[in-house]
Amino acid sequence: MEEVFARGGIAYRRHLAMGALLAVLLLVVVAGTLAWGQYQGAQRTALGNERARAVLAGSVIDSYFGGELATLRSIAGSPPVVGRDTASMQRYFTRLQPAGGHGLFGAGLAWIDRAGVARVAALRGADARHPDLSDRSFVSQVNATGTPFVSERTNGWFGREHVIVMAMPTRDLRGHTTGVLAAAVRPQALMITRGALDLGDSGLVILDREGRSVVGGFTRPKNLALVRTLGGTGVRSDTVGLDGTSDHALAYTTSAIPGWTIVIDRPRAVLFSDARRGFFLELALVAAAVAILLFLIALIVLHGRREAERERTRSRQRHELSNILGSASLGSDVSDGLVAGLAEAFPDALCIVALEDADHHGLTLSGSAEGAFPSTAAARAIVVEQAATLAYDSGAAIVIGKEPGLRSTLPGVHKALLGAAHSFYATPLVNRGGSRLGALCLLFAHTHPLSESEQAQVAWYAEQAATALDRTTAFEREHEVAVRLQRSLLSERLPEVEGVELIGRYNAGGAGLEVGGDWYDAVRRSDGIVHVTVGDVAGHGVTAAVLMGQLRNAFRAHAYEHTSPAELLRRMLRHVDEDEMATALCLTLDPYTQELTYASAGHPPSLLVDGDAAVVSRLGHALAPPLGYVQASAIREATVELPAGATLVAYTDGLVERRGWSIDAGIDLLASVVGSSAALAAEPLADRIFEEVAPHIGSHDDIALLIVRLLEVPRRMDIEVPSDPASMVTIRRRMRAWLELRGLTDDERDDTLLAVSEACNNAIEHGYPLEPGPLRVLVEHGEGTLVIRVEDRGAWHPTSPSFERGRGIPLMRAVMDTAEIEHDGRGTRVLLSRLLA
Amino acid sequence: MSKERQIGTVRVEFASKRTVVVALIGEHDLDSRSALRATLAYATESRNLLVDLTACTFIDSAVISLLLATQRRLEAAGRRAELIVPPHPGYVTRLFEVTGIASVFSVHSARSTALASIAEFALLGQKTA
Repeated sequence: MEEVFARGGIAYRRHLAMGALLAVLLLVVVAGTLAWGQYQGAQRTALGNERARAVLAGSVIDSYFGGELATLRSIAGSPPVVGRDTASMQRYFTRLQPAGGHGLFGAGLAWIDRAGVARVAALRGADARHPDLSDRSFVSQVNATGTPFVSERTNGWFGREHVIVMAMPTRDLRGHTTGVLAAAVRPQALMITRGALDLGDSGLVILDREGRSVVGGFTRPKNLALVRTLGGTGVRSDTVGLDGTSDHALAYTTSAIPGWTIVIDRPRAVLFSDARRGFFLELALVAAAVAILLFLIALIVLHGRREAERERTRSRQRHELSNILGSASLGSDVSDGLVAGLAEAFPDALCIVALEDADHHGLTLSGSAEGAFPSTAAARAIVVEQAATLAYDSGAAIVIGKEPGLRSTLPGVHKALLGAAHSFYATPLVNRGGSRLGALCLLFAHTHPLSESEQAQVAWYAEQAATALDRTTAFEREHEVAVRLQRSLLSERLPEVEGVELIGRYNAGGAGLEVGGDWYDAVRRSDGIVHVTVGDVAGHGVTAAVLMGQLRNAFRAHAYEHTSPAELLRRMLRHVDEDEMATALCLTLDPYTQELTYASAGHPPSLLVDGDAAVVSRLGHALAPPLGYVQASAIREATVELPAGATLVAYTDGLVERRGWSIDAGIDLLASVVGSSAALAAEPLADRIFEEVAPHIGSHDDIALLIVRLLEVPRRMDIEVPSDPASMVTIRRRMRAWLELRGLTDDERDDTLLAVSEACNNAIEHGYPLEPGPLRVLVEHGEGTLVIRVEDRGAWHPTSPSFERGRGIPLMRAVMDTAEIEHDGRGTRVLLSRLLA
Repeated sequence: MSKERQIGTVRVEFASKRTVVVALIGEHDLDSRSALRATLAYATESRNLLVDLTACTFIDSAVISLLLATQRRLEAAGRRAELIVPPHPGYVTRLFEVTGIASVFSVHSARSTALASIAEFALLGQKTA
């Protein structure tokens, strides 16, 4: 789902942009092809038009000459000409062709008889000379054929002008040929039609059959050879022009009557200028369309990039929130993470998360501190509560983009909320089972419509939070069970030992964390020796608590059997499976000898503080790997003699282990606090350690702390041991140490040891002659007195007197001031007393 | 425990053909009495006995009774049982002072004088014999 969230839109947009680019490319190709086709078509049309003009010009020339010939024929048919009356013919001609005026023919009119003599002539201009009609071949040709004639070239000249000669045979009334009527036409007359032909300023060339230009004022053709190759009617679109330059287009036609060739020659650039202009216009249109399309595509791509960037940011935020929620162990962790996540995603919103309390009777609220609204804390509290309650009660998402909707959608909404929020979004937190666990809402001081993707993000946050809450709820429940289990396993009260202050503390660490497997315990044996243990099972939860219980049971069970801490650890080791691990410290304290023996399996070193010198030392000998790793044979023990007023601080690693610190740094911190508190009693010392060390370490791990403090040498030595003669050596050793600590003189000490030994011998021999029983020795050191009481619970067995027996009681009496022996049903008591120096 | 076990030990030296020195080291009490009794019985089968208490830190009435019984047995056999107790103050000195045992035994302050005393007795005994 996350992948789809993050990538789908971007891929879609990328394809869209590529498709659009392809479409633009296609458009360019198609439009370009069309434009090119049109350009070609326009060129063809221009050529066609040029051809039509050439044809038109040809037909104009034809009709011109046709008209002249018809005029000439009607003159030839007129009576003066038919009657061959030269005088009337002269008058008629002069009328038709007045001198100095504009006659029918540009140059003049003449009648030539069959002999070739010009009999009548009417010429233009008073000063005009006789026309040069030297070439009279046409006269004989017309006489011979009897058909009209038009000269194929400029035939002679009139004045300074070339003229074209037209001839028509004349006949008498009988139809015999009488002569030739000839007229000279100025080619200049054709110029009149040029404008009518709309042929432009240049390019029209009219040539006679010999290639001489007939129409003046035009460019003098240089390339007449070209003209001779032209026949009929047609166009040449790309050829050398008449002026000899290339890149010209020619349209041509051959005139019918005079057989002349009409050529329209124009440079292609001129001819096709319109077509090219149209082509360029179309290209410009296509380019404009492409530019617009590319701009639009670029806009889309840029927008897509920005959207993708936003999506990446959201994806990162989702990822971070997932991590936070994934590691949350408490409901408050979830709400804090959710508020932080919402605040990051919507920095200008007031984000509120409401969680249902464990008892389902209320809501716990948390909100982002961001935003300057509402301005006062009181108003803020009201708004937050209102919004949270609305969101929770609604049961469905509320989306209100504008303030007016708030009033209509949520009647009864508090006016504080109305005043504060212009946009309001809320969604309940519902788990998979459909239970409502709380709600989250976003308030915006200004109008802020959420986009669909933003709403989806909020919904996703709500879903994730609900899932996390399901987990934390289950977790908290298990935690509670484990805490109860551990509490039930931990000793409520440690044994009271005369002359020793012994306290234990357990701190369950962060309430949200799984309960640890930390323990402490202490047992006072009947022989007065105190067994103490502190340990920590690796791991958390019920499993750890169960192993911890087993280890403590082992400790308690074996503490009565064994005096050696190393031996106790070996017994505890038996309960630890290969996949389990525990660190443990076992130690014995003899309050009478003030000796401490300890053995450690992977446990952080206990601290020993000298009561007077406040010197702190670590119990750093007799260390072995943790239980679960250590071989039984590797467990060692070491003994130290405690200085007067010494304090021992044993603890679990939660007290000194801080992430990023070496464990030594934590122990040193503890040592400095303990060293500066040597005068404190155990309870205040424990308080101080929890106040001054634990916060610096900041561990969420649980902590077990045990403090042993020597107060004074006990006034009484009170022990119960089995009536084993072998144990007498130990009893004397311990008692000797105690008596010395109590400050008795050497003689008093030796006498006491002897008397106690004798009394014990008595109990062993008479009280338990067959099998051992309990033997209690109580020695009380009072003001200047020593009172000894040795008890057994056996029946008195008299032994047969012998030389080797019977000296005990006299000895006791010898070294003590009083000595009494009492027997009754409960056993025998030897009571001794002595005054001291 | 092993350390404590070592406390009550006995060293037997056959100083001469006629004399054995049994040194009690450490503490001796009811617990070590039977072992001590066996040792003394074996060592004194045909010799005079010197019990060296120089390194002894504790004895109780059980040991004293054993020593007295042994002395009585040896004297009955015409031999001697004497003690070596260093003159400096200590547990044994104090015990002897309190119990008056010193009056029962011949007590020497050093091994040399004790051996000399025994040798003299042996010579006398031979002469007497």
